Amino acid sequence: MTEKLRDPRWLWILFLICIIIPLVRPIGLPMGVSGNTVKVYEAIKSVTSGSLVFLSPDYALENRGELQAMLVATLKCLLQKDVKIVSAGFYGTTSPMLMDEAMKKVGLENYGKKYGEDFVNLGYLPGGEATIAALGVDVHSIVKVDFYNKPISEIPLMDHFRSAEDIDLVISIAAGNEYPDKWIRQWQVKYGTKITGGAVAMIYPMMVSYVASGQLKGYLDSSRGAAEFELLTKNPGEAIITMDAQSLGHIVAVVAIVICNLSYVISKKEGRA
Amino acid sequence: MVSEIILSLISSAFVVMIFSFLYKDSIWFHFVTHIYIAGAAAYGVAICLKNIYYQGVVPFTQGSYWYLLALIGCALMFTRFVRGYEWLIRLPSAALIGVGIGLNMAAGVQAQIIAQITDTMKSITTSTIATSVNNLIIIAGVCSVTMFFFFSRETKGAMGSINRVGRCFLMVTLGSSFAYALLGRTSLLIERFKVLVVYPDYYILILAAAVILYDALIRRKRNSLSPFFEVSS
Amino acid sequence: MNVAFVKREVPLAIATLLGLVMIASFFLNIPPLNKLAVESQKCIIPIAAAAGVVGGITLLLNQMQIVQKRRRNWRLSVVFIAVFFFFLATSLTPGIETVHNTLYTAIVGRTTEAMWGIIALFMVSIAYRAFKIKNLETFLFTLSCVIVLLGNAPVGEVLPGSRDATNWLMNIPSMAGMRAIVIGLGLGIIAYGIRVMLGHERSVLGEALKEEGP
Repeated sequence: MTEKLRDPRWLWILFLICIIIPLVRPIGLPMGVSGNTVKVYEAIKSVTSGSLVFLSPDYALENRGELQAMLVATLKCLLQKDVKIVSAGFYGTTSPMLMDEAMKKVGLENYGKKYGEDFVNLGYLPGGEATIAALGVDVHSIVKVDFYNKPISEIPLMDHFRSAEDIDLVISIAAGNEYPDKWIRQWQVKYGTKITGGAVAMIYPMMVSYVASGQLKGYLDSSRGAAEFELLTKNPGEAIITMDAQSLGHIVAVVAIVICNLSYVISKKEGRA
Repeated sequence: MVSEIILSLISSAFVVMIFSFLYKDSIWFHFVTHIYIAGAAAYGVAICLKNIYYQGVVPFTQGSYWYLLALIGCALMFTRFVRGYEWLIRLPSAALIGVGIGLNMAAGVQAQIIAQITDTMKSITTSTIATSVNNLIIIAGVCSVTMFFFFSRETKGAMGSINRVGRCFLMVTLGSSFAYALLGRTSLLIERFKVLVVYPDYYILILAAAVILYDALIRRKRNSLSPFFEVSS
Repeated sequence: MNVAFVKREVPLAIATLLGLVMIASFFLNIPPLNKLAVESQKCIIPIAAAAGVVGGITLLLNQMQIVQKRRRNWRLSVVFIAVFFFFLATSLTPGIETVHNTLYTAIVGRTTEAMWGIIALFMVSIAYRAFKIKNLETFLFTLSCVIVLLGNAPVGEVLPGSRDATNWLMNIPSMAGMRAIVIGLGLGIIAYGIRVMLGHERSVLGEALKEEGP
């Protein structure tokens, strides 16, 4: 019996069942909001009317499940304010595609906004940190066209964005720790730009130290952070739906750890006896 | 629309083929991995070609003659494919590395070292005991883990004790990191199943479950794989 | 001039010179130096893009070689080549971006997510097999994992103190360990940079150097 239980496939089946059931029949478990999520919300709220915000989807298609809901929630929150949004991706070639998908899902016209006047997607800019650094000095010498191959000289919003000093807040939604680090090194240190955002769960523990030192104005952690943000901004979306499944998945993991240790203790006693 | 339904079914079939790896490594898994790697590589190449044009060729033709160096660097990158001249790729690579290192080093001192150390050195005699204890734990943790990574000295005596404390803090950090990593990957899994449990994709899930059940029965009866899961050579 | 000298020393000199220009422009406010630094950063962008193209083409050539030599699973390589050219054509053809994006997201995006998602199951089986509490370190590792898992699951709101315990764990002991790692990363970047600039780090020149010898 114990040999059969050692086969992890039983655990996989249990895990998958515990994920699928809440998706088919939602349970509606309670959820609180963490301090870091409130800090992100406060950072966005503190942006004054008419400001320019840089929203950077620094992730690729493989992280869509974790971060797309976060991007949609932050975009909705920004569109509710009287701010202009510039977006560009630096991490992967698919990041502007994800921004385009988010923009179409949210619908600029629903908020009385227009592409080119209130929002622009500059596409993918390779080069990583060097590009972020160069963008801070002179945007127009680096970016020639937007994601839809329209020259930036024909985009009215780009008249207001020439360098990092025109940006009041950077929101970086990242798939790896390199991206928050690069924004902090190149924009926060040099220009004092406020940086906030979110990331995949794996790098969130590292970002906590930047939040504590004040270099990041709060940080959202993966789909949990996105769900909390949706709750806080009263814009329920994709992330909240998945929280029940997330809950049960975590319970299965905890049960697995408990069983592992119980069987270890029992086998040790049997070994002694 | 019919085309949307067909695309959704194909997409779900591919996802289920990826999940088939959990049951058995089979030709289906390798088939789908070849497809998605090919697609990702092709799109990456296309976007990068567009960027070479818009960020290199266009500025050069508009009079920014600095970009001639960039275009020469791009051309040298392609010597990777010319036998006998592969070493020329080191020149633009060295430029990439030099700029990257310089940017990292210059700003990294402030961002990653000074700011972090400044925030660590907090007062341990504050108005509340809880805050004082927390600050003390942070100082002890940062110092001991930093010492843990100092490999130039033997871990004996006081160094050994500090090392042990550092290891304990590191285990707490790694435990929480593991939990967060699991949270992240679970989100991706949930996202896939969110699509698979709705119409019409649940038919694919049911079909996949039936195929796996059939294969399991065949294996039990005949002690061999069914035709669905034989790995081709 | 010795060819071996050119192959080894010129790239190192380029890396060192550009590195020093970037560092100097950060600390000194000399307009010609700042301009040189900014222009170098701009010129790197198409070079980085060219590196991406070279990577993609290398992958394609590898698959073509597998087909040519009829190695194991060569038919899958034929599929690879066909899909590669299909997506290359759809990405570069103007006017069909919506069709391309839909196909790409449905076929490439969903499968990539699934690939990363199954790691969750492997992580759960790791937790099931390997998280045995044998000493203080493994106890702390397992305890912090359990606290964070319960605290982040919304059901943890029901357990009294679980959310507070998670917040305390993340903001105090875990943050202390991570901060030390961040400081270590910063020091490591500086040490690596100095090694490259002094020519002690030969790995930046690539595999070919090993064939040439010292």
